[in-house]
Amino acid sequence: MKKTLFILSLLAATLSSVSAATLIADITTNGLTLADGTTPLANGRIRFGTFVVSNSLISANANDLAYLNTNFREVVNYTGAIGFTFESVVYPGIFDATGLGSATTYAGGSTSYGGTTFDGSTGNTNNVAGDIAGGSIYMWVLNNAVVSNATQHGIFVNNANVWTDSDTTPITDSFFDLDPLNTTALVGTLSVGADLGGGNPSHSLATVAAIPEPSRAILGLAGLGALFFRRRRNA
Amino acid sequence: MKKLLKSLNTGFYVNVDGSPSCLKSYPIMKRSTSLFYFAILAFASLSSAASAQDLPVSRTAGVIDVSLPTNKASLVSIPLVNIVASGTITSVSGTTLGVSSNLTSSLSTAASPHAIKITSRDNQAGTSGYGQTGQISANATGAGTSTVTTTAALTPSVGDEFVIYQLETLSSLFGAPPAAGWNGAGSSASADLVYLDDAGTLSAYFYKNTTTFGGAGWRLASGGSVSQNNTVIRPNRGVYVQRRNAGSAFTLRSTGVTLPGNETASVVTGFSIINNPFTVPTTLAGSGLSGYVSGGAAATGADILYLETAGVLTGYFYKNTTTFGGVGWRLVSGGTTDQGAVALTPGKAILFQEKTAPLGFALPEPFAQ
Repeated sequence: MKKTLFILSLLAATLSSVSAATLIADITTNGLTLADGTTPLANGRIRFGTFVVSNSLISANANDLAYLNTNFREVVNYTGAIGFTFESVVYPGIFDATGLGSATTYAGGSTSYGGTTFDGSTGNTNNVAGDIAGGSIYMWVLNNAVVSNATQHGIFVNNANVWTDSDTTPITDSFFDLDPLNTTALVGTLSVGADLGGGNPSHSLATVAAIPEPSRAILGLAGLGALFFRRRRNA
Repeated sequence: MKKLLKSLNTGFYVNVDGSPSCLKSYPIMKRSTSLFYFAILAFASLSSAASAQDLPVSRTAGVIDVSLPTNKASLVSIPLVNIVASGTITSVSGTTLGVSSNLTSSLSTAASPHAIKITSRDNQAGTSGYGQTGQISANATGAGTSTVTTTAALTPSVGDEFVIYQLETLSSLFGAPPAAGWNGAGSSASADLVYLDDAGTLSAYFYKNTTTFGGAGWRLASGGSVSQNNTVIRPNRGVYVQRRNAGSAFTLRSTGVTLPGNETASVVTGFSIINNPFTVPTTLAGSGLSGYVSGGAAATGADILYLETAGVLTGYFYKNTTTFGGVGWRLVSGGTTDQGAVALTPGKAILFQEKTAPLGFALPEPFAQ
């Protein structure tokens, strides 16, 4: 029995292989501005991962941060100052892999991110449905470290960059940029902002519109009803 | 060996040394696939910085073009080099070697680095440095006073032969800017990538073609604005190229002469891109590589050699057990079929994955041993 358990534990250890990789992200060519198109996104939270809902649902729920958060599978994230240093000058709103530091290292293999396995085909490079590897890389940018406190955000997907399968030899790293030719803005707008130093118009975030709370909506309707009733009585 | 050469030679034989004192002539081949050779002349190319003590050895001179297709990976070797001096070792003191050549200029500038390779073991009584290569970090000039200092100590004996040759950099090998077809970009995520190995890991470089933040030039994919134009392709090393699905056909041209002697490379645990310095094909079985890899009963515990064909990497390991077909080269992907006849193609580097205690790595001359 002990021997069986030992073999099973070894098997489990083998199957749950974890391999480290790096996401090499670079947005120095465009950079990010707030919704006004001129203010660089100098601080905030940058999340890389994937969504488990369609792009159309992401765009349709652009103002529902809780919904988006529930359906996002974060692989790496960075929180803090956003800027690129060149010749001792900091250019806020843009970054490369150096700027994100160690925040870009992630575990591949059978590691689970929010219930979604990174690589569902450990041992080979087959692209299986439902896992993260082989799928597009999404970047969700917020102007606050706490998702629910963000007032502006942007969601961008690069259709030319995918999460690299953990079994790819010899390179398991993934790459990401915001080349407008390959990028879709699901929330936010491409290439409409100021040039932050990268030589191209920046991509802009979108303002999170307030969603009416149910209690407020009911109160509002009740008020309207009362007003209507009063006008009818007066008439 | 003659049979092998004959079967592969679709071109013509060229005596690369026009002089009557030529000791050898090697076939130069022409291939019509992604890799092809066509021969050119001339021992004259060796004379640039040669001294009176040069050895009377002919070398194969030529051009090798390696096609790097888009959306594919390529393992590229640098088989042809520019040899600037040759002779015999006159003294050995740590990392400094006395050389019989009359060196006249610096061999360690950033834009033009050089290496010294020990090409014989004439002094059988001494230590052997045969096949070793070291990058030159400093040198002294003058007749009778020339020395070279290497970044790591080599172990030749006085009287052993050497050659000094120019190392390639990213800009000298690929161009800065690279020729038409290469896909440079503003970021590494959109650009073609060149990987070099260092201490068992692979680092990516790309050609930045935008004018901002330091302008155009080679950069590390991992970030920063520091030019990497003079990053050296170290001795014994090739490059791994990953082209994007952009750009167009690109051909990497290697010109010069072949390096004589075995290729001995230091490796550490992890990945090394080993240069294949030979212009004559050999096979896994014929290469003698089995003596320099850690074999195993299965691929999981053995060193792996990856060879690239048409953009696809295939892994091989040396099976050292007698069961299931016996000892020999096997596919990592499985099976019992012996893979000893798999070719090591000129112009293609070897991606070597060292898993256990490093044994060192040596690639014997396929036509000499």
